[in-house]
This record gives sequence, structure tokens and C-alpha cells, in this order.
Amino acid sequence: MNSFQLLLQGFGVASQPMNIIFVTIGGVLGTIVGMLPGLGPATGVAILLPLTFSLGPVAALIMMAGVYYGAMYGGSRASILINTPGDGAAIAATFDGYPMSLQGRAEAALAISAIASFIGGSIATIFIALLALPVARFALKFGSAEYFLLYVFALSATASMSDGKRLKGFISMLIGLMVSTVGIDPQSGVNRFSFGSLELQGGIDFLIVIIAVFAFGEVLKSFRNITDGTKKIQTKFGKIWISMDEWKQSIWPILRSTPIGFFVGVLPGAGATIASLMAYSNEKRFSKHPEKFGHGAIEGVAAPEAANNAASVGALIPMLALGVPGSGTTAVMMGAMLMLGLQPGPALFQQQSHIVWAIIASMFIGNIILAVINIPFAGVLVRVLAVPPKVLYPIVLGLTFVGTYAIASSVASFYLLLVFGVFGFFMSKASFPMSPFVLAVIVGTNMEQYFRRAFKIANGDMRIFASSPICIILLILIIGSLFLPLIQKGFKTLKMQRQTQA
Amino acid sequence: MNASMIMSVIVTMIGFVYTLSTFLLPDARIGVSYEPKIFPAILGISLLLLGSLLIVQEIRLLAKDKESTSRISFIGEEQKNIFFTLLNGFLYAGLFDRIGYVFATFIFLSIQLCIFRGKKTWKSTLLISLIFSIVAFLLFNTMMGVYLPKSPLGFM
Repeated sequence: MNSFQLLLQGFGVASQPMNIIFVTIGGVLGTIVGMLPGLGPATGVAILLPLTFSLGPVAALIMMAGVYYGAMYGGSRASILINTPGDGAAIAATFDGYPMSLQGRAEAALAISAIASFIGGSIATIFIALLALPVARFALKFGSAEYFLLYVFALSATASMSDGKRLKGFISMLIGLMVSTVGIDPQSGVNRFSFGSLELQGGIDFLIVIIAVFAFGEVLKSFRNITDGTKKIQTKFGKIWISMDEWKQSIWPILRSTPIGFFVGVLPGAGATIASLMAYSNEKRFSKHPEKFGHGAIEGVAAPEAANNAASVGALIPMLALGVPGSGTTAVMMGAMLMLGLQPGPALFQQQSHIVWAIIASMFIGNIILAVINIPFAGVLVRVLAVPPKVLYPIVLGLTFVGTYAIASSVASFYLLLVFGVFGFFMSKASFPMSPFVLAVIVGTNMEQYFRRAFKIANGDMRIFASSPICIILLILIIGSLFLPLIQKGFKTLKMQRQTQA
Repeated sequence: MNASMIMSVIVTMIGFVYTLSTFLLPDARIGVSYEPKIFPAILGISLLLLGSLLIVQEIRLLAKDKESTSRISFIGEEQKNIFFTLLNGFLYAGLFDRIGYVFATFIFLSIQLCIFRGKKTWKSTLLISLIFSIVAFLLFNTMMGVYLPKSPLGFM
């Protein structure tokens, strides 16, 4: 079957009434969580994960996908209305979205943000439908050595992308990999680093680590700058729509930013934040009126919004087709899949293609539903921003505990939650990026197993890691990802020197 | 000492302890005896090296710019709140199986809301805690089939 037929099959599954209800629930909850400052899509998916426990794998993943891109939609609401981005990807929406609100154009800003997200997300879903199958088919050529190197590349690229903190990014990654080695070794049965604790013998559940680092750590961080009330927000709006002129100004920026966002999203470690900032600066460069940017230019909202939604869809390609998550949020999504007994990667496309294509099809449906929800009901949804953070954060804390218990069914998991929560807090305080850590915790076990399988196949000969063209390409990419920031720095210095000479 | 410096020392120590523990691991009874140690040894030694490098980097940074680095304070409102939150978490873990989800969560959330909002708003604090505990129990236990411990009284 080709991609089109498989996509049609996926639509058959995703358009079942119950699945539409689940994607709607996921989308609404995601939008709400995404709006809340500090709680981005990764935290949203992590704390809402237990809600899917009683569902089947298809419905659970459709709902999780709804939460994921719902959070991407929601992130920009707070940016536009109160100048407080829900997460990194929504930062660019503050640049022109908030000035638009101050000028009394909040309706247009909210509308264009939803429209751009819808168009960006929908086009990116077409891209994913076209690219996922070829990527998955190509991945069938991968052996243990290739998979190991692919994981190394994903992790090193993520760590390298930690702007100005590369060393800390790599340390964060190593600690994550160490966490994944705790427990009984599946190949030899040797009990490693469990210090005699029965609870640790089965390993540390990465979902607990994720919830601890993202949600619990976020609550601890909130003590630093929590305020008594909320910022005054506008909850009554006129017609949330845009004029023909505004549409004409926005459509090209949306269409230009979508592919940028998508391909940046596919790259491991880059993510929606970089995509949206890149789209913004790109649009400013293209604009005939760059001086209007930062003062309420509608293109300044349209471009990053399209890019960040496209990036969030693009990030699903390496996760679904290769089983390698490229961002914190897709790592959480992959965690959810593993918990449901699904191993993302090329085999998933062969053995359970109906699930993959149902998720992809649900993105089309979800995008339509989210646009419908986010435009007319924006006034209702943004009321969530009126909940004082001092009430909100304890509730998030309550949800992290119940979520942890739902995953592990043991109070011992609470201690892990507390330990990793504090660890995550101090790591963030010391400016250690957390995405490499989370990614490493999730892929660590597989990475080690692939390493050892390759090691065994080659009878301990390390040359197996450079034995095929794919391995060599991956090695070049790894070296490239390690040295790219240094090369970029070199080019910058050279450019500056030339400028001073001129 | 700033937060980054303290963490760089801590991660280097973690690297050291982890490497040491790796070499103390028992040999595998099947296959290559040292196989379960290879991957952890690579990780431990790498962390030890990168951690040491980070310490050197931090010392140089500290010498360069003493003012701009973020200092860690051990006494202050933020630290006090974090400490009480953790203590509350341990109390919650201790009570959870003994008195059941609803009562333990009610106590936990009441204390946590007090930490965040102070004691003045105790009426709304108790109300929010009660509503959250019951709604979460009904949602997870009754609707989604996630087992949550009940109180010794037998209900909720």
C-alpha cells in the first residue's frame, strides 16, 4: 500500500466518533495547559498521560497527539494577551502579539495565531504523510551499529544545540544515560546500581523522571518569581477574525515559514523554539517594513505561529519512523508509546501501521477542531489564565503525584519523584539544559542494547561502528554536530575580522 | 560559590562514584564477563572528564567575572518553601497507603496551598483541597480504573 492509501485507512480510524471526541478532549486540555506559563507541551503531555490509561493504544495516542498540538496552540494565547509565553516556542508570539493587544487588536492577533497554526500544522501533516513511510523504509536498512550511532547523533545534536552551554548539555546527557543503566541488565541479569533496593531492580521508570523534571521541577522553580495574583487579562472580545488586508499580509509569511518550521522540527534538538525564532527573523528580513516588527506587525505573529506548529509535527518523523525522539516533548510522546506497548520505529510502520496512520490522520482532524475551538472560544479558554498561580501550582503538584502513582502503583515512586524533582530544579538553576537528560533517560536502555549487540556481532571489534556507508555518514554527522558550533564561531570571528579590516 | 560551580563539583563526584561502582559490579555469568560494565564505564569516565573540565571552566569564569554569576543562597523564602514542599512530599508518601488517597491528598494539598498562599486564606484552601481530592479520586479511580488506596473507613 502507498502512503495515500494508508492515510485513507488512518482517516477511517481517526474519524470514528469516539476518536474525534478524544482528540477534541486532548486538544482542549492541551490548549489549557499550553496557556499556563511554564507548563509547555512536554509537561502537558506528561501530567495528562494518566488520563489515557484506560483507553486503547489508538485512542490514547490520538488523545496525546491532541494534547501535544493543543499545547502548541495554547502557548501563544498567554503570549498575546499577557506577554507571558506558555513555553519557549511561544516566545516569538510576544514580540508582535502583545503589542497588537495593547493597540486593541487582540482579536486579530488571536485569530491569526490560530489560523497560522492551523495552516502550518495542516501543511506539515501533509509533509509527514509523504515523508514518514520512505524514512521508515530506509530505516529498515539499519542494523545495531547504525541504530547505536543514530542514537548518539540524536543525543549529541540535542546537547550541542544547548546554546552556550554545550558542555553542560553533554553532562546532562551522560547523567540521563546513567539513570537508564539502573536495574537488572536485560542481557546478563547482572543487578546494576540498585544499591540493594527492590524498587530499583526493575529500573527507573522514565515517565516518573519526566514528570519529576518537567512538572515537579517547574513547581519548585515557581517559588522564585510567583506573584500574588494574575496579570489583568482581557476576556471579552469583539469578533475574533482578521480583515482581508491582514490576511494578504499574513498568507505568504505563513507559507514561507511552514517548511522552515517543519524541517527545523525534524532535526534532533532544534525544536519549535528555534523554528519560531528563525521564522520570525526570516520574515523580518524579507519584509518591506522591518521597522514595524516588534510594534504589532501581524506577520510577526503569523510566521512564528505557523513555524512552531509545523516544527511540532516535523519532530514526530524521527520519533515515529526511527524511534529516536528529537525533542523533550516527542521524548515524552515516545515514553507514552512505550508505556502502551508500542515500539516506535520502522517495525511499527510494518506491524501496526493502522496506529501510525491514525495518529497522522488525527492531526488533520485535530487541526480543524483546534482552529474551531481556538477562534470562537478564545474568550472562554483564556479565562484559565485568571486562575492565580498560587492555586494552580499546588494543583499541578497534586496531579504529578497522582500521575506518578497511576504509572508505578507504588508509593516508592513518590520518593523518586521528589529526588528527581529536586535534581531537575538544581540542574536548571545551574543552567544545565534538561532536554538532553530526558532524551537520554528514554533512549538509554535501547542505546546500550544496540551497542552491545553490535559489539557481540563483531566479536568486540569496534570497527563495526564504521563498517557501512550509513555508519560513516552517521559518524560524520556526529562529528559535525560536535564541532558545528565551533565552526560557526570561527566563521563569525572571521566575518567580524573582515568587517573591521574593511 | 555559585550554583553552577556547586553542580559541577556534584556531577564530577557522581561521575567518580558511578565509575567506581561500575568496576565493583559482579561479572556476568553468561557471555563476556565484563560486558555489562562496558557501557557504564564509558559513561562514568566521560562524566568524570567532562565534570572536571566544567570545574576548570567555572573557576576561570569565576575569576573573570565575580559579580554576574548567580549565587546560591541556602537561607531565604524560596529555599524555605522548597524545603517545606519536599517535607510535605515525604509526609504525603508516608500517609498515602495508610489513610488513603482522598485524606492524604486533602492534607497534602492543604499544606501545599498554605505554603504558597499563607494561612490567611485557609477557608478557600480547605475547599480547594477537598474538591481536588474528591474530583481526582472519582476521575482516576472510578472513571479511569486507576487503583488508588482507600481510607481505613472503607469509602474513598
